[in-house]
Amino acid sequence: MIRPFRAALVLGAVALAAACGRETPTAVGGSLLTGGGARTFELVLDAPNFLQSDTTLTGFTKGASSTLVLIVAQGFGGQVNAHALARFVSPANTITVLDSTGTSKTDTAPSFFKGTVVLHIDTTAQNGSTPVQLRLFRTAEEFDVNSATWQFRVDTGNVHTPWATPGGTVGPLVDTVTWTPGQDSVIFKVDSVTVAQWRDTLNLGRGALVTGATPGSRLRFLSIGFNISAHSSIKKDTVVTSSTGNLGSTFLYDPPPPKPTAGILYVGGIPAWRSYLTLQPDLMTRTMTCPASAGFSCSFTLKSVTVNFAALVLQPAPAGAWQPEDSVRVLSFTVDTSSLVALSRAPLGASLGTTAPALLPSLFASPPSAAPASIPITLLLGAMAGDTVRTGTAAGQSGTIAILHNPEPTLFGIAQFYSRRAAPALAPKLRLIVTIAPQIQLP
Amino acid sequence: MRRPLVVLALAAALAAPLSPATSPGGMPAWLRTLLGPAPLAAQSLLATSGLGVPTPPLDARARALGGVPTGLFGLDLSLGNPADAADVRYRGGMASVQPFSRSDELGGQSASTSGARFPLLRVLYPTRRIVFSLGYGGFLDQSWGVSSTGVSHFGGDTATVTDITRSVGGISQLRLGASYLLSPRVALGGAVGLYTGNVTRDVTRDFPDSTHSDFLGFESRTQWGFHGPLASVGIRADIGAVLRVAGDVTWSGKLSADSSSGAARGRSYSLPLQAEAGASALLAPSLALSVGGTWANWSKTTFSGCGSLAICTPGSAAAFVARDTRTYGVGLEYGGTHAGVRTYPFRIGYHYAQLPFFAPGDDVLPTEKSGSVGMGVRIGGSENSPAAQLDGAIERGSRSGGATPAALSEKFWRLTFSLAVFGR
Repeated sequence: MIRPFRAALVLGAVALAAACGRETPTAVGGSLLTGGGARTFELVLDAPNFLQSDTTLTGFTKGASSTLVLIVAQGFGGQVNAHALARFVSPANTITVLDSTGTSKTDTAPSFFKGTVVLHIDTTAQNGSTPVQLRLFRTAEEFDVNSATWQFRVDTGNVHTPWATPGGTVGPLVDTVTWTPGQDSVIFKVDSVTVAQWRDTLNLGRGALVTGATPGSRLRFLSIGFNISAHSSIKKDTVVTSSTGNLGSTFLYDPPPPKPTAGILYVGGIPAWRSYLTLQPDLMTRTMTCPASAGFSCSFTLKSVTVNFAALVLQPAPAGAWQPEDSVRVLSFTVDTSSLVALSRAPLGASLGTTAPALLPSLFASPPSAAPASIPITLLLGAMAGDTVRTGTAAGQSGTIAILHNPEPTLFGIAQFYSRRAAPALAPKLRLIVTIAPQIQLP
Repeated sequence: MRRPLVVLALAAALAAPLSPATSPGGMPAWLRTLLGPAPLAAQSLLATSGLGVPTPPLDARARALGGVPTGLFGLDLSLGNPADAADVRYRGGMASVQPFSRSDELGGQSASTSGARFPLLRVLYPTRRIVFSLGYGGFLDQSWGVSSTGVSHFGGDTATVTDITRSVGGISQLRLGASYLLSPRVALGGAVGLYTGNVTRDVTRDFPDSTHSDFLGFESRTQWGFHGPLASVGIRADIGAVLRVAGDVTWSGKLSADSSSGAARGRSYSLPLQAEAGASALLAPSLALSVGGTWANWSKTTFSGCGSLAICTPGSAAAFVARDTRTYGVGLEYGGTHAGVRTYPFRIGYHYAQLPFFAPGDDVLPTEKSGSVGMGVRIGGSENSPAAQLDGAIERGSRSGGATPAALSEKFWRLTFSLAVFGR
C-alpha cells in the first residue's frame, strides 16, 4: 500500500514541476534598471562616405518583342513615336454550325466577311487625360515580328532589311477610332478585303500596324487581338465569330533612349537597364560617431552594432520623354562578383527589398521630385557584418547592389535617378537605423 | 537506496532542460545538470539590485512555519544547519518545487507574472554513526524580466519599440555535510561546499509596427559563471522533552564571477558571514511553537559604478549598496491527526526578512513579509525518520523597496512542495 502511494507522490511531484514554465517579463520595472538601455538612432551617410562606385548597364531583355506590354505614341514629350505591330493567326477554313435538325456540322465553305481588332488598354498606366485618335493600317512589306524595329523590318543575325518607310510601311487605312480616358479597350472594324489579306498565309507581308494620330499622346496596352466573322454555307442565317490569336506582336519606337549621362542612373526601359552600386569596403569597420539624437556620446563601427534597417535613398531625376508610363517597382539584389566575370554577367544573389509603395510616374517629371525613393538593403549589411545566415552566400560579401525594375520586361519608360556624380544634395544617400547598447556588466 | 535516487534523478532530469544552456564557469554543464538546476524564475523584481534576492534553501515544512531555518522537531531537511539531519536512520532523498505568482506595482503601473523554481535537492546516506548528505539549494536569485513599449523617432520616421530586458540565473550552494549524534540530545554537524551558478543577461529590442516589418531586431547578451567556497558548522540540542534549540554559522569565501561571452568583465564579491538560530517548544503533546532567525553581514559586499544596464565609468559612484540583514520567523505545528501509519500535520507561520541590496537613493529599504499555512503527510517510520513525507506550504506575502514616491510594491503567492522518500 505504501509503495504505490510513494510512487504516486513521486509522479505527482514530477508532473507538477513539469507544468512550471518560464517567467514572463513584467511590463513594470523599467525604472529599476539603472543606467541606459538600448538606443536606436538614425544615421544618414552621403555618397562620398559610403559609395565606392555606381554604374548603369543595359541589355537584360531582348527588345520590344519580349516586352509584356505594347506602346503607341505620337510625339510624346516632343520626341517619342511608337507604332504597334502584329501578325495574326490565319483562321481555319472551316467553321462548326448546327444544322436545321440541331446536329453539329462542319462547314467547309464559310464566307469570312468582316472582323474586329481589339486593343486592351492598360488602365493602370499613365495614358494621359485627353482623348487619343488611333489608326489601324494593313502592313505593306514583309517583316519579322520578333526582330522588327523602327528602322528595320528584319533585324536578326546578319540580316538587316530596312523598312521603306521607317516606323513600318503601311498599306490602306483599315479604321480609325478614338480612345477616351477611362476606356479599357478600343475596337477597330476590319473589312472583308483586309480579312482576306490577313487570312492569306502566302502573303508574308500581312500584318496590322496601329499608330497614334494625336500629338503628344502615349498609350500603353496589354494585348491586341483579331476576331473574324463568317457566314455559314450550310445555314445561311448563321454568323460565327471566332478569335484567331497572334503569331507575334511588338512595337516599333523611335528614337532609341539616350545613354545615361554621367550623373544619372537608369532602371527599366527597353532593353532593360539595371544600375549597380558598390559600397566602400571599409564601411562596416570604419569608426563612426554617434549623432546627437542617440542621447549619449559614443563611437562605433557598423560591424559592432545592430543595423535594424538600411536603405539606399535615391533622388528621382526628370526623364522627359522617357518618363515611365507606369508605376516603378525597384527591386534590389546582392550581386555575386566572386567569379570575376563582367558585372553585366555577374549573377544576382538574394533579393534585398523593394520600394514600397511603388514609385509613381510623376516622380520622374520635371523639376526634380521632392520625394526620394528608399530601396531597402538591410540584409546586405547584415551579411557584410558576418551574419551570413541572413543572405547565406558569398553574394552578400561583395558589397555590390543591383537595382532593377520588377518585373523587368514591363516598362517602356526609364526610371532615372541621380548618381554619385550629381550635386551632393541629389546624389545617393545611405539611411541607417542603428541600435547600440552599453555593455551590460555586473555591478 | 534505489528509491531516493529515483526521486533525485527524476527531479534532475526534469530540471536539466530548464537550466541555462551554457555553463560559463565554475561547475561544468554536465555536472550541473546531474546535480540539479539553478534557480530559474525570479520571485521578485528586487532581484534587479545588487547580486539578487536571497533564496534560502528551506523545505516546505520550514516555509509553512514562517521560514524558521533550524531547531524544528522531527525531520528537518532544510540545508542550513548540518546538524539537523543527525536523526535520519535510512537512506533517502528529497526534492522541493516552488511555483509562485506575483503582481508588481511601480510608479502607478502594475503587472503580473508567474514562474517556478526548485529551491532544494538533498540526498542523505546514514552510516553507523554519521549521516552524510549532499544538498543543492538556492542562495541568490538573479532572474527577472522587464518589458516596455514606447515610441522612437528616427529623423522623420516614428516607430513603436518593444524592449525586453531579461536576466536568467542565480547562485546556488552545493553542500557536502556530515551530521553526528554526540548524544541522544545533542547533535553536531559540519559541511563544506561551493557556491555555483551562472547568469545570462539579454537586452532585445523589436519594432512591432506593421509599417516597420522590414526592421530587424536587436539583441545583446552577456554571461557570467559564479563560484566560491563555503563552510558551515552547526549544533542542535534538546533540553528536556519539550524544547529544542539549534544554531549554525556559515563562512563564505570570495565569490568570483567569470565572464564567458560578449564583452562581460569578471568580478569578485565578498560574501557575508551567516548565522542561523532556531528553537521549538512543545506547547501540548501535538502542538509545537517554533521561532528562528538569521543574520548575515552583507555590508561587506561592495559594488562598482555599474547599474543593471549602465556604461561602467571608472570612478563613478556605486550603483548599489548592501546592508546587514536579519530575518525572523514564527510558526505553529499541530501533528495530532493520524490515519493508520500516516500523520497529517498542520502548520501556520509568519516570516519577516530584510533584503540586502538597494540603490543609494532608496528611502524604502527592501523587505519581505509573508504569512503561511501548510500541511504534510508523514508515512510510516518515526517523526525523525519517516518512510516518506510530503509537505506543502502556501504563503501570501509582500515585498517593497525603492525610492518614494516610486517605490516597488509586490504581492505574491508562493507554494512550496517537498517530497522525501527513504529506503528501508
